[in-house]
Amino acid sequence: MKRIIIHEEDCINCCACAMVCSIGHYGVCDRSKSNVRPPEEEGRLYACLQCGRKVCVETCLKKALKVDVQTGAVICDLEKCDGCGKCALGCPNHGSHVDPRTEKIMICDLCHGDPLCANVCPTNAIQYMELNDYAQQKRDRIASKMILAQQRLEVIDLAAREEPACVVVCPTGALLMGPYGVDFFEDYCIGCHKCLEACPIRSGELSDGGQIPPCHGLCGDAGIEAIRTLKKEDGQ
Amino acid sequence: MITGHTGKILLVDLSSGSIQTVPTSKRLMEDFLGTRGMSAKLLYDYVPTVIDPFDSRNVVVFSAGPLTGTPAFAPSGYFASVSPLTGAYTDSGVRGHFAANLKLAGYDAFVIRGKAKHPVFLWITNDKVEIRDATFLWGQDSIATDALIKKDLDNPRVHIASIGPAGENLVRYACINSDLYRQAGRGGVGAVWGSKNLKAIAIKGNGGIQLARPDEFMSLMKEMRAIIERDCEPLRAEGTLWLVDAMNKYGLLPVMNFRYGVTDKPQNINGAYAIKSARKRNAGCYSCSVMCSNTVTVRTPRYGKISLEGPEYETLDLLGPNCGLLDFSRIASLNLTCDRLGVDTMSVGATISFAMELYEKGIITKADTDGMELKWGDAEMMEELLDNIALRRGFGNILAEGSARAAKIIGNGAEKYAMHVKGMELPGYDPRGMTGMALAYATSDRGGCHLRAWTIYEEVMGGLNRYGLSGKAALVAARQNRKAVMDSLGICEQIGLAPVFLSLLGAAKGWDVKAQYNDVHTKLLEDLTIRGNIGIGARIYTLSRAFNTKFGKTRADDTLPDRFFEEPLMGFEDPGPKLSRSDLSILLDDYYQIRGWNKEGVPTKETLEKYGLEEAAADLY
Repeated sequence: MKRIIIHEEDCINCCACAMVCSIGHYGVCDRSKSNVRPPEEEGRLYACLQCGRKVCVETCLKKALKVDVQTGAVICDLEKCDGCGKCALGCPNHGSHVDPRTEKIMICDLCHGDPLCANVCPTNAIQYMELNDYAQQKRDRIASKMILAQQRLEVIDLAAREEPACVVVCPTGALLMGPYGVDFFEDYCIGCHKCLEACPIRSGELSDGGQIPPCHGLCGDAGIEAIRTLKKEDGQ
Repeated sequence: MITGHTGKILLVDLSSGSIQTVPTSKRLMEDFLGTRGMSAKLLYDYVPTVIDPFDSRNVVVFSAGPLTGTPAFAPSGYFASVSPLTGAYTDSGVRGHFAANLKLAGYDAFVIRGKAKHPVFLWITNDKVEIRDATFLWGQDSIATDALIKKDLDNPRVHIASIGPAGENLVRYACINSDLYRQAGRGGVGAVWGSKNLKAIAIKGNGGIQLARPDEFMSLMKEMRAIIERDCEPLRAEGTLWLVDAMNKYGLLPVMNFRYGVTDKPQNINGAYAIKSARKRNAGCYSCSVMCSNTVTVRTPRYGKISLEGPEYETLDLLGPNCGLLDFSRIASLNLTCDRLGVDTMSVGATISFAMELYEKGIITKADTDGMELKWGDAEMMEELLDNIALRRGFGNILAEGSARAAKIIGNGAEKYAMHVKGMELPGYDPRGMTGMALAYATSDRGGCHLRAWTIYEEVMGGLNRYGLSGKAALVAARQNRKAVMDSLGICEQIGLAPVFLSLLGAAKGWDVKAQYNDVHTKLLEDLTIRGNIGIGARIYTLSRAFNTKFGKTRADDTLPDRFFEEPLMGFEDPGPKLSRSDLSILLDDYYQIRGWNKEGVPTKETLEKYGLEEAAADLY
């Protein structure tokens, strides 16, 4: 079954999703009256992700929410809904909201299997696809990066490198020594975290995308020396 | 029920502190649509007499369009005021989230009058409008102002338009910064804010916009997105920087104060360089999926490692090659300095290149410039000069008046090197390469501006003879009308006016919209008819012309700097092209006739009445 998949790091906060949602469902162009919440409204991009548990359906005392068997979306019977907001409070994804004007719940119904928001999103920050396809896409992306990395490593003279630990251990050449310090080439990073493990001062922290931001040359001569010593000790 | 528009205009009087709303008249909505047209009309109505731009009776108008705030790609809003640079009509557009939030807060436009006793900022959120004290913001740069207001209002998601120190010090080309990196740059509206003691406007809108036919609107949206996906792919790749290579190829890239038309090292500043060495990712405006804005990351001596939106093509050229500078990261650094200080990157770039040429020619010496050596391409010096201009220190005080006034102050033949039309500095396209663009510059209502009629595509890349005269006046008039319609709908010039936008307007407003297309260039919209109401573009252009006539602009002001008539363009062809005064005179005659203006460039009474501008007819006749 297809689901809404959100890549928050790609969102540019253009609010197109919320506006088409409000026109499609409520006939008015109003960012705040929308089932999908752009960062402009809530600080982050939220939408119902059609999770397996469906806490909202369980908590609804009025039995207003039910699952559409065809699309897997949660459908709200507005006649029954009294706007108590229990579903919104219980949702771990911030997927449902109470409309402050009508006091009824707003939740994604997947537009009967063709979500407007996923259609209009310019950066594909909201996608509507099979979960397995998504996983496959992610694997493909890593594979294509590995091929890129292979080509890159062929042109880098590995023997000539005398560089900080992170650069030395990086298997894809995403970290390289530049004139001002370590340069980070995001396109090549596969998120293997080897640089983080190797760094003597643990400068980097995992970012949201699972990639390592570089220290930009904080690791000076002393650091390099320290790593070499460590390595020697390891060797013995 | 009012659809498309919100039907309310906010009137703020800073002198008395009164805030009121008036309904948007049917005439404003139908005859002027919104954005630029509505701003021009409101400015005409609220400035009844000829005044100085820094007079407290001057007003600042800002309007959003009928499609702004909806998912149609129309994020523009236009400021209009009496310009400190030209002393006549000016407007200046800004994209991003500011205009859309004004619409969602429930207003089509706001008009700011009077002068506050102490620095203030305006806080607009839905039906609550406050004038708040801004003493703690005075003197802060635009980026600090943004952060301080967000902290003061305790809301990180407000959208702020503000002026920097340049606007406070009445630098005549001060700009308005919104959402950090989006500027209403041209014409010096920022200085008018400064003269009113208005530091910033913060907006957060949470309302909605009613649409007449929502289902039709949604189906048209799908069509529009398909068109955008098809047409705007190059913009997504390089943004406006694709122009660097194109203009360099055709000899239109101004280098060293419009002396040369080409540079030998475009690869140091072009789009490919930005992608390879500085590009991080794209950014975009409200509801727009083109995402043409470049967010670049560069290392600079002044700021260290910085990430900013820009520089766009005009900034890149006028602060770069036109000042003899060919270093992308230095230009980005200068761009950030301009944004922080709140000066128009284009006008300030042209003014600095003007000063550099004077220094080279020996018209000014070290004694005039406080010991600064104004050498071509000296980025360190330019940074210092920018600070001096914004704070009006020493020699910067003269340059802060704009190149036209500075030339008068300096004298000694300096006027010849000031590249401006009606007082506003020229943008980054050399008009010697094409007669149509020369006419477009000369007849532009706000001074040296490329955004009124960008005829380069037809003239240089299309079938027309670029140095010929036939058809040029008609082309410029048609392009100006088309641009006026486009601006008045709130559509960005990067997207262009596809016919689907007119259908979208129809769906939003419930109107029957008819477009007139040019016979020769079948794709070009000539003008727009709504409900039997002809010529919206021509009406807006005639109104701003009438405003300029009232403020004393005549045919003599519809001209170009002497350099374009006297010196051939160097570096492109041999011999290089130059313009002739008689050609321009022929073109002007043609153009005035097409517009229905008399030989002196004043709209005739019949023309004004044809477009329903009775109040302008009463003023002029």
